[in-house]
Amino acid sequence: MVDWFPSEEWLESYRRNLAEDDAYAAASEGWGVEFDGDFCFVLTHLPLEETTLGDLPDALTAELFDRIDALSADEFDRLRETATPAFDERFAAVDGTGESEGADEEENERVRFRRALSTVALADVPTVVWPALETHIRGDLESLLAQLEAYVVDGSTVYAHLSLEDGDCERAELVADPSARDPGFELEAPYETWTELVAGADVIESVMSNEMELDGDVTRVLHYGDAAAAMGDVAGETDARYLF
Amino acid sequence: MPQDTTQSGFQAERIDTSSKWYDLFQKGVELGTWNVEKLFDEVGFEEDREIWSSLEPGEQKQIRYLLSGFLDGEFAVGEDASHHLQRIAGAPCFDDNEEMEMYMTMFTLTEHKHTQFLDVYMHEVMGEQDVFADLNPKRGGARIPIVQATGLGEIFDRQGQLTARAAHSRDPVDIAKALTVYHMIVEGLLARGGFYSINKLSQNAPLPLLNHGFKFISTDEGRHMTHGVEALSELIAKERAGEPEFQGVSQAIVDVLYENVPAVADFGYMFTDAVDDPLEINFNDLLLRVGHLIDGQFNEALDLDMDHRTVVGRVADRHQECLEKDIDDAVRTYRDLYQRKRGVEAAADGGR
Ligand SMILES: [Fe+2]
Ligand SMILES: [Fe+2]
Repeated sequence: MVDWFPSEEWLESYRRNLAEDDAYAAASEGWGVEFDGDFCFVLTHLPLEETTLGDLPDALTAELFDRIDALSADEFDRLRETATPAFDERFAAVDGTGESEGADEEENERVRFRRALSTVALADVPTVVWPALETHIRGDLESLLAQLEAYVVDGSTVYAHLSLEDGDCERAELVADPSARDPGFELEAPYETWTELVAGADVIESVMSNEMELDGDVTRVLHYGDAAAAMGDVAGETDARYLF
Repeated sequence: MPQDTTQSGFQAERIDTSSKWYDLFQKGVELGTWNVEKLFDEVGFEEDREIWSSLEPGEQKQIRYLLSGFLDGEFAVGEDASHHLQRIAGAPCFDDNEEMEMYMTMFTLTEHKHTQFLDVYMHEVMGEQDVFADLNPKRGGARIPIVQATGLGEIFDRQGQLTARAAHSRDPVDIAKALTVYHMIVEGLLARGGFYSINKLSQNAPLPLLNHGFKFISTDEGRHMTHGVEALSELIAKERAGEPEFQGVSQAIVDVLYENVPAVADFGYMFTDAVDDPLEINFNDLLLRVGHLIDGQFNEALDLDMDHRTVVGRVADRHQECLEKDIDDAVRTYRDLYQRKRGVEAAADGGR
């Protein structure tokens, strides 16, 4: 799977890179040994309401649309008939004319279907999508939509927990119930700020300029300033393709 | 030719009433003339005395340290304002800015009032205490031992050196250094960090008169900061316009920041877990607050490119030094030193 950001897969790549990074290992020796050095990354303001399936990168959605195109007329009818009312509403709202002039009615239906599907906001996917459609959602898209459903808290926030101890990062995972954990440190920012960090921005700079909020023993982070910087640098070096 | 109109609509012949500094001067006249003694009369010392005596020794120690830093700091900025900043405002690089010179008189006045407020308040509320006022009379007495012991005193020494040098040379780069340590670090970071701490401690020790006075002081300091940012911006603008004698201004500002920012750790030491922080001022919060101030002042207001990692590294190193130092022991050392000095001075007097 491509390392879509944010995703479990990206987080795992990041963890691996961090654990293998010499600069991080050297700078974070002793970190978390006599105190709780675990970090929670909090990504707020994920644009799930604003982003529709059609807005996602083509690489993610092309397969789904191709499958719908490849359905036989009967198969398409069955898919169409089992749709949720929420989808029907969207279907009724989209304009089916124009694009395939001269095509038969069935083909126009399919164009409208695709358009209606494209307008579904990610936040609405769980209520709009129905089992027959789900069978056509596969691969990365399937995995990402499942992660959205499992890990998004309060509609637009994702929590990632990193176990950091003595220069190593043994585990990194998305957390469905953040209230069940109380890590030593929390780093919170809107999704967009995280993308800047992943693109190479300096984490210390982001915290000091109030773009990211650091909670925990700040003094310790200052004393391990090089480790914090290396954590940011490794994020910048971890390949990422952005979902939004 | 009449100058532009102000908000109040007045114009003048010699004074540019549209100048930012005229505006600051006018605001200073309007807001900066709060009467310290009147405030004492109106609010009174009683409640503060009562609350003060109900505090635990550790809590008293924290407040005493914070106010001692302020007292020594206000005294130092008052001195350097009247001796040096007034002369700096008249330097050729500010193009005969009459309004800035006018404003500096208000500026100096408010600094002396801040000293007045703190000195009287500490004496009246916290009781008689030996601050070694008889020593080093040129600077109003020796620095309070706790201020000297943490290392905070050094920043005031540096401010004295840099403002004196700039007043003498009137060189734009020297002036940039002087104004940076004075307005950006001592006023911008330490005093503002101090206001933040006063606010926080007042949740556990609500001293009404103290809070009242500090509300006035922090409003005054807001204008001082505006002046500092405007004056430095003017120097930076001339540097960017390519004027030869202004080259090096931006670098000097950033260098002075790096050199002096460890004072934040000296100042914050009394709010760390190492001294239990009984009033819960919380050094971590203070550090973040100061970090945001640094970013706002240097990167945003002055549009410079300072490196947060360097700043953080220096503050962290100094903090480590503070942790390794026995402050109580250092305080005793300074007390003994002052006592010995007193003995020497008394002997010298007797010999005359
Ligand atoms: Fe002041
Ligand atoms: Fe001031």
